[in-house]
Amino acid sequence: MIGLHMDHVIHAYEDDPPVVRDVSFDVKPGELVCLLGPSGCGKTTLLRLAAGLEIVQQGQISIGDKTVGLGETGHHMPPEVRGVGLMFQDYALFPHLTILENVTFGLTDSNGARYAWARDSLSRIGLGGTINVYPHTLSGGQQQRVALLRALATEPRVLLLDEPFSGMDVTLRANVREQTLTILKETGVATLMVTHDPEEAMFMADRILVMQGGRIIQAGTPQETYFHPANPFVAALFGPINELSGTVQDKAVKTPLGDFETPAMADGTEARIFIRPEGLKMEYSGEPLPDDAGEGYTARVVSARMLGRSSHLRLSFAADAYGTEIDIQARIPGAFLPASGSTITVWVDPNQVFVFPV
Amino acid sequence: MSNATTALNGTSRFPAFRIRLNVWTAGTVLAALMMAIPTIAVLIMAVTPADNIWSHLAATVLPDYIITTLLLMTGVGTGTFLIGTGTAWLVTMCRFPGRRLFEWALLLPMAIPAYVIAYVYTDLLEYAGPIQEGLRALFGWTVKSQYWFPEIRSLGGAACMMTLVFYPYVYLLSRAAFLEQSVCVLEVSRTLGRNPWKSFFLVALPLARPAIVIGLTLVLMETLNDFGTVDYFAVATFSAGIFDVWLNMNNVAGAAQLASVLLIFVLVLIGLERRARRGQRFHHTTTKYRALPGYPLRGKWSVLATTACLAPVLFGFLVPAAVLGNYALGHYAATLEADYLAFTLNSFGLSALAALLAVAIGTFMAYGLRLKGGAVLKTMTRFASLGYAVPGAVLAIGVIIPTAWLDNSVDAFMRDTFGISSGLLLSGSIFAVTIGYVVRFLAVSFGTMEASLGKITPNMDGAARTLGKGPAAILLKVHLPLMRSSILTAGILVFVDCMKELPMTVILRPFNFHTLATFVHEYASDELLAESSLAALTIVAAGILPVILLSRTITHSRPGQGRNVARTRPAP
Repeated sequence: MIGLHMDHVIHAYEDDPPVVRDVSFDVKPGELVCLLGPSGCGKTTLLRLAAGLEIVQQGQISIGDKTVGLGETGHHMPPEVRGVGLMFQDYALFPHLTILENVTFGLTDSNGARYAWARDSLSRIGLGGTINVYPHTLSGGQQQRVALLRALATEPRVLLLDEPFSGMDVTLRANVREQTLTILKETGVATLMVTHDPEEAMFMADRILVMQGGRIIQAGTPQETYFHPANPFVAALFGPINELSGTVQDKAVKTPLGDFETPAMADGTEARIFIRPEGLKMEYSGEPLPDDAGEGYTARVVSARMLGRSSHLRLSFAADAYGTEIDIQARIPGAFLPASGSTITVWVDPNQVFVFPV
Repeated sequence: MSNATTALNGTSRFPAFRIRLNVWTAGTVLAALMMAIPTIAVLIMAVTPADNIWSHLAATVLPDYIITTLLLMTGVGTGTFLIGTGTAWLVTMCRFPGRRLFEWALLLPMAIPAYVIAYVYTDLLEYAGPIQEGLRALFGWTVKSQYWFPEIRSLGGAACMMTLVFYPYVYLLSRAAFLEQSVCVLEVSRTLGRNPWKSFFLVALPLARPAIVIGLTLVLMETLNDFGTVDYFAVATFSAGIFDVWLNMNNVAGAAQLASVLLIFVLVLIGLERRARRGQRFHHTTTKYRALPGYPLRGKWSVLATTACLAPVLFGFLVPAAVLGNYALGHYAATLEADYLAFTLNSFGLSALAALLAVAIGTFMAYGLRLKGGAVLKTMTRFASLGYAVPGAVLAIGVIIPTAWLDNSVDAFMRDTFGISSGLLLSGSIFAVTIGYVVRFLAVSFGTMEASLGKITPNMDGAARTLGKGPAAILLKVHLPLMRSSILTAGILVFVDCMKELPMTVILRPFNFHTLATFVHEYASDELLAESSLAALTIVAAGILPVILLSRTITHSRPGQGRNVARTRPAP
């Protein structure tokens, strides 16, 4: 059983180079899949193709067991009969309609039970008393939930979310994210969500599709994506990352922070080594030295800054084999603020280190 | 995976969609073509060799027409530039008594058609008028040779009259441009050692140039369009020439040829306007806006500023309105006797019908363009809305050519088949006048509707589409309710333009059919201004409507303060 299926989809605007290049994936009912990537990578175009707001040029799009778009024949099922729900970044609530009228906009007289559902759902999210007010009187978070209910009211087979939390501040975002996830999991709809925020993708998604330059470059669970990035781009997607370089010798690459095994790379290969700032552990953080940490490495503290929930450290490591100083950034939970110039012992969590050939 | 069979099933289950989409596109193309017919007809007629009077025209009247028209354009252009930008700068940047009042009062002269103001000032300033009589009485002169007084019925007089009622275009656009300028830019200029006066010439004026050019092109288009004033003053411009060749020489082809030369003038103006509009985008150097400083003016400077703003309002609106009002009080019976009610009914009926059609067609075209953009459709709709730039006399010829052809074709067919003559069905009918109005003022409604639709985010369409509504349902349920006030605005603007319209009405109206405009024109031409003053006043009263609309939005025109922002985009 398939909710949404895309097969070798290619799409270009006017005469520009394609923004979507040969993309295939599917979303099962009840599954939440995130398209994650920087702006301009083609993720919103994919969403619009799925909704039918763009006509597919090459490849095939199916919803349920029905082909809704086929590039080869020019077959295009218009959005109004596709059975998709679409929630926009700006929510696109109809300003001239009340909250209830917005939510029931897509309903026809035949599905009267859904009118009751609309009222119930609005009450459940705490808007039962305001169903007759106009959207501009609601807060951003309330508007978001109204838009979500509006998209779900017609019982779509596929729900498409375009950056659903982008307009909110951090605290509100966390709340709304949680609620949205609850509502989605209750309905069991196949959901495709677009975001450029990796944290959001990890929180929401059953599977993440990382996009770059119109292609899906990695597909997997949040854990797989975070701990096994397929390439430097994915590794760097989750925030700033330290990068070192080295050469593979004896199936490993040597760095001032230890030797990292590279079983798949031939000796003599030039390698790029990526270490997450949160992958650095240090003596002062109070954790006992793990058995596999080896002896640890000495670093000089360049600066330490308090960020709130974590501390940000700039460390300098003694000259490597080439005689250059190496600058490394680390992120330690809690307040950890050693004096500049002091020396600390550091080791690295091997799960947070990724080695790729140049 | 899904195969060809499901694809075919899908296609056959929803066959209506493609056709439905094409209805909008085809309808838009059709409407655009229909609206373009008059302009095209003039061009075809002008290059058709039969009845060619080019050489005759060139040898006789053409040079005169060109020189007179250019002189008139120069005069009106200079006058409206000085008054329009000067007053705009004063009311936006300076503080002096009456500034808030002048902000909208400076628009009032727009309410008065050029031909009406011409009748009024001729009445005031001619030899037998109250001014010259008063001077004679004061100084004891008895005959004209004893003193010099400017002749109002002249090229200069026409330029003055048009300047007085057309300057609000420049005022409106340059005021908007000054408002949009960041005060920061002006303050930078001040900190770099330029005084306010120099900052105006070095920074503000160059930044506002595109807007001023747009305003001036609109003024010059109106100048070319004018017929009533130049006819009354016997100034031989193109519009007057077209009437002369058309009515006195009874030569349609010759009129069309003159009209096509006039079109060249118009095309140059449109080109200028387009360039200015493109340039406008690059004149926003910063996105930061600060409250305008408002240089307080004191002493003689504030008196000077108040006078400078009062003069255009006084001479462009208050004096003519007072004269007409005074006459109307004394002579309203004469106007009523001359079947004023019938003419008023004609004017209102025709204008309302044209406004309705123009808004409907404009909305359809704007929505068709939104549904399926593309360069071809865009160019076609632009061309269809060129009518606004084309002088009424030219458009009238353009309407007559195809309707006459149609009438003759039908007539010939009827004679051949049934042996009866159907005569003239469309020519000289209310239908022809209405078509003329719609073609000429479609740009107003189309432009308003396009701008209004543009303010509605496409996501609104996307949301409605995925909620199961087709294009027609979206227009009805989402767009039209959101555009209500714009629809009303567009309707009023077209309605009032039609009420004031003179040259097309004169040419296209049925025999002995009068509107307020043609009635005033006919009576005033026969020196019976007083007897027609009530009718003229009615036109002016209608003309106040757009002024009210504009002045209502004028105080909300600063970026970021638009009232529609909250309505079309929900606040976070």
